[in-house]
Amino acid sequence: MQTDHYTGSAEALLVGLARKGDRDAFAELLRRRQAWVRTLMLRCCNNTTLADDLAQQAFTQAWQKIPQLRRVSRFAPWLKRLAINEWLQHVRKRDPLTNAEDTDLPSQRSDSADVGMDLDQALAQLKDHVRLCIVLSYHEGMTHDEIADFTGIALGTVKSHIRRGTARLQEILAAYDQTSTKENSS
Amino acid sequence: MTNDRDPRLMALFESAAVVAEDNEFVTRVMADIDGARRRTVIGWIVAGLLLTPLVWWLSGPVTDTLVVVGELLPDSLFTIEQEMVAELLAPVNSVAGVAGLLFLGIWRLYRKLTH
Repeated sequence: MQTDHYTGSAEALLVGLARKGDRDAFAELLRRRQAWVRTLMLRCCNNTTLADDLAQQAFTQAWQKIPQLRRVSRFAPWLKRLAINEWLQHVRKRDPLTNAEDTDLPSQRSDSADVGMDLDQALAQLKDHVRLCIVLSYHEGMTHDEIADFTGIALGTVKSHIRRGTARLQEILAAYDQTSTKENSS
Repeated sequence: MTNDRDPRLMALFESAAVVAEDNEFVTRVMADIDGARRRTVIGWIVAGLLLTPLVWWLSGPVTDTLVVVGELLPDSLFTIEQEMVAELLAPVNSVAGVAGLLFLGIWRLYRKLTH
C-alpha cells in the first residue's frame, strides 16, 4: 500500500481529504488506526479472525460514511462507534448457543500474544454487554456516562455491568494466580 | 460506584498485548473498498442500461405533458380589468405564481421539520 506522501500528515488533514474521496488519505488513516481498532475488537470477542473481520467491516463502513462526518477532530470516536456497532450487530445475529465457538482456543494464539492471553480469556467469560462495558471502561478509559451515551445502555445498567464484570474478572484472575502459584511450586 | 477502576485490572489492561500493525490487513481492506466501488459503478451502468428503454418509451408522453404544462404556466387565474393592477399582480396571478408559492411553502415546511 503506497501512501508514503501522506506519512507525517496531521490526522485532521487526512480525514478532510478522505471526506472528499481521497483514497490514499484514507489508506493512511487505516494504516494508523488499524492496530487500535483490531485490538479493541479482539478485547471484545477474543477471536483474532473475527476481530479482524469486524475491524475490516468497520473500516469499509468508515470509507462509505466518511463524507457524512461533520467534525474531522471526532474521527477516532466516530470510528470506535462504527467498530462497536459492528460487534454489537454480530452479537445480535449470533445464535446464543454458539456463543462459545466464537472465541479462540489458547493453542490458536501466537506466542507473541501470551501477555494478553490471560486477560482476553478472562474477558471471554463475561457476558457480551458486561464485557463491552468493561473494555470501554478499562481499555478505552471511558467514564460511565460516556459508555452509557456511547452504547445507548442505561447508566444504571452500565454501572452494574462494570461492578459485576470487575468482580468476576477479579475472581477469575485470583483463581488463575492460585493455579500458576501451585504449578510453579510443584 | 464511581468511575474508579480496579488498579490491578488497570495494570493488566495496560500490559496486555496489542495487535501489531499489519500491511496485509490494510491491503485487504483497501481491496474490499475498491471491490465495493467497482460493484457500485457496475450497478449504475446496469441500471442505466435497463432504464434506457423505459426512458425512450416514456419520452414522448413526458415531452407532451411538459409542453402542456409550459403553455399553462403563464395563464392568468383571474381577469383583472385595470391594467396597472393586473401588471402588479401578474407574478402571483398565474399558474406559475401559485406553483412557485406552493413550492416555497413546502420547502419552508420541510426546513422547519428537518432543522
